[in-house]
Amino acid sequence: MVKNIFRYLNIFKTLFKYNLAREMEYRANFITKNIVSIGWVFVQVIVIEVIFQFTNSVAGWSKGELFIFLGMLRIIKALFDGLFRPNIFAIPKSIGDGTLDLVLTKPLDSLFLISIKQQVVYEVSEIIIGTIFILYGFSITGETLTILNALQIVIFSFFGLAAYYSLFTIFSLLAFFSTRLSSVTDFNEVVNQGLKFPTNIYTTIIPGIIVLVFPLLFVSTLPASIILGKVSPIFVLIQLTFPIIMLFLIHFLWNKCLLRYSSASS
Amino acid sequence: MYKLSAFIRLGIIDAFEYRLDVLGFVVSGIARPIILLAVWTVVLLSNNSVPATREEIIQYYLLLLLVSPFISAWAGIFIASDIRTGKIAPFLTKPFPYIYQVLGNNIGEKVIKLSYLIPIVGLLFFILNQSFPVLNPILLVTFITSLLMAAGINFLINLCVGLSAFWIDEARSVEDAVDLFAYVFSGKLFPLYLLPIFWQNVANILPFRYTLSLPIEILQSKLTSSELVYSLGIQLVWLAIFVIIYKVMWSKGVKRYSAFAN
Repeated sequence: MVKNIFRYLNIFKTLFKYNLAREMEYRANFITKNIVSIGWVFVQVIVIEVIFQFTNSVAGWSKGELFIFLGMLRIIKALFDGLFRPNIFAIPKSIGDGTLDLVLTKPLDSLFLISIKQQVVYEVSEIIIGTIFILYGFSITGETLTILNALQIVIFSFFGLAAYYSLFTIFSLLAFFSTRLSSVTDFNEVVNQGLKFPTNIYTTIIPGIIVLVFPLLFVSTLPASIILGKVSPIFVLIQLTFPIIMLFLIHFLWNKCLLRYSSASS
Repeated sequence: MYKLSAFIRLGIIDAFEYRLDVLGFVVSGIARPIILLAVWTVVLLSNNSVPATREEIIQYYLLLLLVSPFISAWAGIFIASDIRTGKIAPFLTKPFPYIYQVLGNNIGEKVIKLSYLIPIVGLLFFILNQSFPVLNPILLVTFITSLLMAAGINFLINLCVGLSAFWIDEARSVEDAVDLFAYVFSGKLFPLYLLPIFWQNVANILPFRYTLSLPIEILQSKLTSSELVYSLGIQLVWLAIFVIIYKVMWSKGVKRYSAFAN
């Protein structure tokens, strides 16, 4: 088991080095992407400023707390976008044109391999921006960022990432049932929009909507709530368990869906 | 005109073939305004200093849902790809303008999208207990004119973004930058009257207000007669500017273009 984990980590390391070299070939792209990314930061700040010009709190979240929440989300999203996004979004295409065959014939777990083929290094800047958001949020709330807080942010970012990864992968699996699924990128947009605010905003209006937004809870709302001490300790256990269950579920569904795959040659 | 209608028919057939995908686009298009509506509803629950009533905000986002698909454009990135890969070359020798194919796809897919969207938005109007604004005949004609001009401006902006690929490799970054401004200043994010005055003035100058917000403002009867005439005038000017930019970009771009035909 441990040997297997190291084998997979080594493969990931090799692919990451290759992708880093490839990205550095396109420096202009790297720079423009970062400039646009900074532009989107301003948009997010404008949204918060416009909303908070009329109120001090939205569904129990103050301006500072919302910045901490958004900082966490930025870090989690950057990890997903950097490590998995291009690969997960390419799943529908590889199912449609049969190039999934190349992955299935390799002596590795196919979901692992298809998830880590390519990395996007410029997302590192998003992690820095996320960190600035968190620091700014703490400065507004007047609370001190402790070492425990920092440790919690690191740990829960990875559990949030597991939930985020599961959400997007499950939608990509629909491509086994439809030959063209370019709206997968739009689904990303929907979920990203939904994630931009704590889920309790939605449940304040329609309590029953919790069924729909439940998976979003584990991406950033619950991690941020735990760090801010807004929920009881039992939720720590839930946050540490549920994303792992989601990962196992995705792996199970992936294998089930593969049975439907007809490959390029058939 | 016959050629264009043939492309529109093709666009409808193509969109219908991939209806699950189109439904995905429709659902994703609905989600964003609904989420923002939820946020504003929560703000309005605890606060009454917002310069709009709850009814106005709900109506704004429902109208946004309805108007957005009419004005949406998505061809830019595909045009850029056609230019980069040389796929545009065969179209340059065809007996119809390249824009017909792009326009046919745009209108065709919109027909299918609207067939999904209109019942959904109708249902939302019913669930949220809202009535569709009743306009007098003059305002109705004004709204339709403004909607068509908004669709035209947005389509041309998107087209110009795609054509930038004649000169630069990364048209996608140009699209991202344009989207960024459009997001804030078109009214896609929130009604422009909720912005601080300075930013409202900026929005009045930039073209993005005239691609989405203006038709909704007309539907919500937010403008006085003089404001309406003034805004429509600016909208017309922006339309003319983008027609000229498109024509110049196309003629100059094609002249300098070289690719292998396939």
